[in-house]
Amino acid sequence: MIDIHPLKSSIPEGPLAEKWDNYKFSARLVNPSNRKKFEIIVVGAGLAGASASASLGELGYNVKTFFIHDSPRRAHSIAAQGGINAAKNYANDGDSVYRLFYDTIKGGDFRAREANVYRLAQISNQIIDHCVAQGVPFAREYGGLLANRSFGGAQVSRTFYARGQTGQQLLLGAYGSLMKQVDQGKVTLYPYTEMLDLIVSEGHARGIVARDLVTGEVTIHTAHAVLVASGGYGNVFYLSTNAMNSNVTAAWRCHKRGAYFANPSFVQIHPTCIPQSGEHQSKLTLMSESLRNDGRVWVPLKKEDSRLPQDIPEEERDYYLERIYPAFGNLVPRDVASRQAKFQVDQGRGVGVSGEAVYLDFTQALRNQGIKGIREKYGNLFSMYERITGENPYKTPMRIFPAVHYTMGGLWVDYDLQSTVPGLFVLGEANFSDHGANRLGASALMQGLADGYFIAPATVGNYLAGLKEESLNLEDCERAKRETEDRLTKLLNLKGSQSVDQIHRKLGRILWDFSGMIRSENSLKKALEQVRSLRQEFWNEAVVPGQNDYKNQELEKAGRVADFLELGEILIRDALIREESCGCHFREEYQTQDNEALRNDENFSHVTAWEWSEENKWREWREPLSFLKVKPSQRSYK
Amino acid sequence: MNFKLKIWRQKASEQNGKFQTFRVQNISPDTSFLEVLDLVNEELVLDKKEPVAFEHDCREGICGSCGVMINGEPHGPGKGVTTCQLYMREFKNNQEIYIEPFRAKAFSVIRDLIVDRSAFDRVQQSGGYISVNTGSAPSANALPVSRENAGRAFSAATCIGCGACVASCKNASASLFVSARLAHFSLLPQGKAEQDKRVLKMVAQMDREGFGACSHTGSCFAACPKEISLENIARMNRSWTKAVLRKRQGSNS
Amino acid sequence: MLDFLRRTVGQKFLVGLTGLGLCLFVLIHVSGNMLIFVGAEQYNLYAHGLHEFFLMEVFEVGLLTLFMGHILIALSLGWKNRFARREKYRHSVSGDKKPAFVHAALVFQGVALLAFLVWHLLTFKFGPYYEISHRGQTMRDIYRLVVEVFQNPLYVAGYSVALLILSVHLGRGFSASLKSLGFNHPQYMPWVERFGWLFSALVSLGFLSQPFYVYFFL
Repeated sequence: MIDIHPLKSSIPEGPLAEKWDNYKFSARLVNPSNRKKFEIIVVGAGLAGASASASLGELGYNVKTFFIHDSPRRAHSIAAQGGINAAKNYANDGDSVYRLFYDTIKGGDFRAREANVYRLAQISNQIIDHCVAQGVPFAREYGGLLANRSFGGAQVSRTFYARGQTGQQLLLGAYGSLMKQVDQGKVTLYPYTEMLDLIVSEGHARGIVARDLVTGEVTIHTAHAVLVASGGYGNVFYLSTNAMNSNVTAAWRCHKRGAYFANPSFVQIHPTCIPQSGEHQSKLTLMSESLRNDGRVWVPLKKEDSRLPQDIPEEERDYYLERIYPAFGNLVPRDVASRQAKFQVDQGRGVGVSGEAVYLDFTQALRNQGIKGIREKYGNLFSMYERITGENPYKTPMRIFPAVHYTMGGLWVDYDLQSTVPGLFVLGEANFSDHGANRLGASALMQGLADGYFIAPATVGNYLAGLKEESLNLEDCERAKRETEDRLTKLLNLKGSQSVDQIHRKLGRILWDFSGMIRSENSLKKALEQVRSLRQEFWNEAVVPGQNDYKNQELEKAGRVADFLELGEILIRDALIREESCGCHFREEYQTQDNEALRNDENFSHVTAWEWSEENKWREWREPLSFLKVKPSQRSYK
Repeated sequence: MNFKLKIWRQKASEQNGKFQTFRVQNISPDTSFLEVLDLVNEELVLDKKEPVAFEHDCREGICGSCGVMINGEPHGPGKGVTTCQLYMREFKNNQEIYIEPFRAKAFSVIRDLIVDRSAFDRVQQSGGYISVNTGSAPSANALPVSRENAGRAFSAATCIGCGACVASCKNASASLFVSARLAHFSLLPQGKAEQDKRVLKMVAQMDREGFGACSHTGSCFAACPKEISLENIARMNRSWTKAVLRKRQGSNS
Repeated sequence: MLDFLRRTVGQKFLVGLTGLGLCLFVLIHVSGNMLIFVGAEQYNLYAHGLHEFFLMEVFEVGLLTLFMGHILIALSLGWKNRFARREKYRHSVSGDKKPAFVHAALVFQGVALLAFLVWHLLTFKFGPYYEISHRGQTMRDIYRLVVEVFQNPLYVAGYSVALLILSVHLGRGFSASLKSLGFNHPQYMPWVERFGWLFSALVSLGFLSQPFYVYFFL
């Protein structure tokens, strides 16, 4: 029962390069003196949420910003390391808006919407201007102008960066602008407050139900529009590079109230993370992929070789990336590098205690550039590695393994970033819009800020200006609140014998093993079955201690894991029905002779959007993707 | 490795707290400190008891959420690390480890090891920004910034707002935090326009929150996981004095 | 300008400024004291000259203001600082992140020095008034008083302790004052700190030389 449903992407008329201008010209405007009559709720205070809150506040709307942390500055955007792309062409190396657009579409393996991506590339330059004006201390050349570097295998230098802490600096910029609006009384902050339901009244998003994480109080907040910028769902895998509190709950509640969830199986796995050291481990740490510029990846030729790396002679090592991809070598894109590491480990050639790692060896670089040269480039990464593993990477090769890093999938949105629920907008990693099946390095920050600073202020205004009279039914609010409270009670009544973490770990294991980097029909079917029974197990056997009326972190976790258990199912089903390989979605059955992803443009050049129809039942919809400007091609890194 | 943990338990800010003792056994030296707390909590949860509340999020030393006093040291032993970056190999086998919340009048205890650091947000709100509305920015390269100043501004801006400076200071002074936020802006030409107003407001708010004054003991620097320079404090004092002396009648700060 | 009294940063500025003024005072004071090695006459003449100097009253008022300003503002800051931590740590600060001893309690050193100051003034300024005549002028024989007082080992010991505290207070306070005034540069600060300690050592040894000289050699 697959329909070609009119998922209206609302792409404006005109040539690609003029669409955004056309949109802004034809968009309805809210009279400045009327803006204060509108209330807007923003959920999340990361790059997308903070920038949207600040910009909407500046325009004169009344904004209420909700976030689960104590301060807006804690959102996980802060951990982004590499940088932010923009088509400034300061390096004079042939970059342009069109090239950034093209690279992003191609990097996404032709599974993103052209018009959205083009707009992103256009806005990229304004973002840099704005952030510099806010005082973001980007790296500079000696002359005082901005420095750029090439990142993630891009052939042009278009990445702006602030050492390895670009996300932190950009977030502090957005946080500053946000706090200014708080001071001006245009934005009200709701710290330690978690959105637990979306209020939909007369078909429109009209508010949220939120729980104060300190007092446990559940409250109704109404508004004329709701913006969800709650980040990605990588933690469904339990172990990921996401922060411990990153979750899908806000987005998932929207999904259950009618917002479609698009491409949930598109999950990016980053190749250079520090491998797990034991069961107790709570999260994985990412190391910048710039390490692959000088490090050489290898595994022992012999299976289950337990010798120390330095005892394995050169001729018994397999520098497999250099062997398979002579042209790109260790610098192949993230998905390729990750997948190859898994192939090696699956063949029993993994290293380390767990056998789930490969070596990243700097011996040659150390010999050529000296300890000093390497320390200058990677000193902080090397010391971070040593701190975590207790091993000195100057002496012994690093062990690395891929880890879940970013989710390209998310709530379905149209060109306006509006979901299938009118009045509900989704920003940043929480939406699915711009990265297709694979995100390029340094593009996440760009997208979050484009959505928040520039796109939402225009499109939300367009929506509000067209809003017909009050459509709020108070009974809808009360019902949502009651349901939330019932659910909390249900969670608090769980007094079984397994901790929520234990169940979360199991969920992660299932998804990682059967629906991770490499998937097949068989593995996915197995995963589907296991996730469904794990969901039962959760509601039968989990334990949630304590009460509702104080800071109860186990209760918070339980609610989030319950949502992950539902999301897990459509993540698997989405992977199952996409009978092709594209970007990060790799189906064993669909690969070229050289083990590369084999796309099927004829049947799968579309976005899959899932509609929650009833309890754990979904209906599948498709938004066809048409490529008018670029021609889908097969990627090759040989 | 085995440890005896003495963890501060407190139900709410107005209630009295006390240490509770936990013994943990067979811990790998490569376990992180917070993972040990995870293990303690998992056992408590399985016993249907209340787990220890502690703040944490990114677990890679950048979000600033975590932070407790470990044997009298903010973020525990070791320089330039946050609590989440602390590993058990830093401790001796069978060591007794005291874990307390960051304490200050301005940071009231929410539960167990979690304290309310919203005072930092209010200081930030009072002036910690450069006023620029979205859309009004000039072209990014229109204003060159010397590489050195950009670098120093960046170093000041690496503050993660964890509160270790306040926790370690005998006066519970927030000078290092506030001055780092100020230095970030005052070292950049973009930040000059509203510098006087910013420093006056942020210092006033810092006082209002009940933080103590700086006695230049340098313990904040020793505790700072980002090793923010003490130079910033003198810079704050200097620009504050200038701002007061330049202030005119009727200006609103 | 009231901000200097209202804000902690301003109060610290005033404490620093008065502190540096007091540094200048102790330097002048200790230089005068050195005349004890020259002889009783020069010592008394110098003291007398100071008293007769027509601006002396102005200076005394100034000095009193410096002292009172320094003490009162520092005490009020110390009071505020005490309450900035409502609940004390149960496990005291230790390890590498513990501040050095000299930093521990500037305000307590100050209180001890204040007590010493009162004792010092009672002993000398308001102590027994001996008269002597030099070069036809009658004046106070402060030399005799000093020699008398420091025959008493309790005074010598008391002064030694007080001057030890003063040396820590000065050595530490000199650079801290400059920091409060807004000076701290990584290139110069280490030298400023060394200078502070050198200054404090010279001043304290200078003062200390009096009781010891009197006790052991007179």
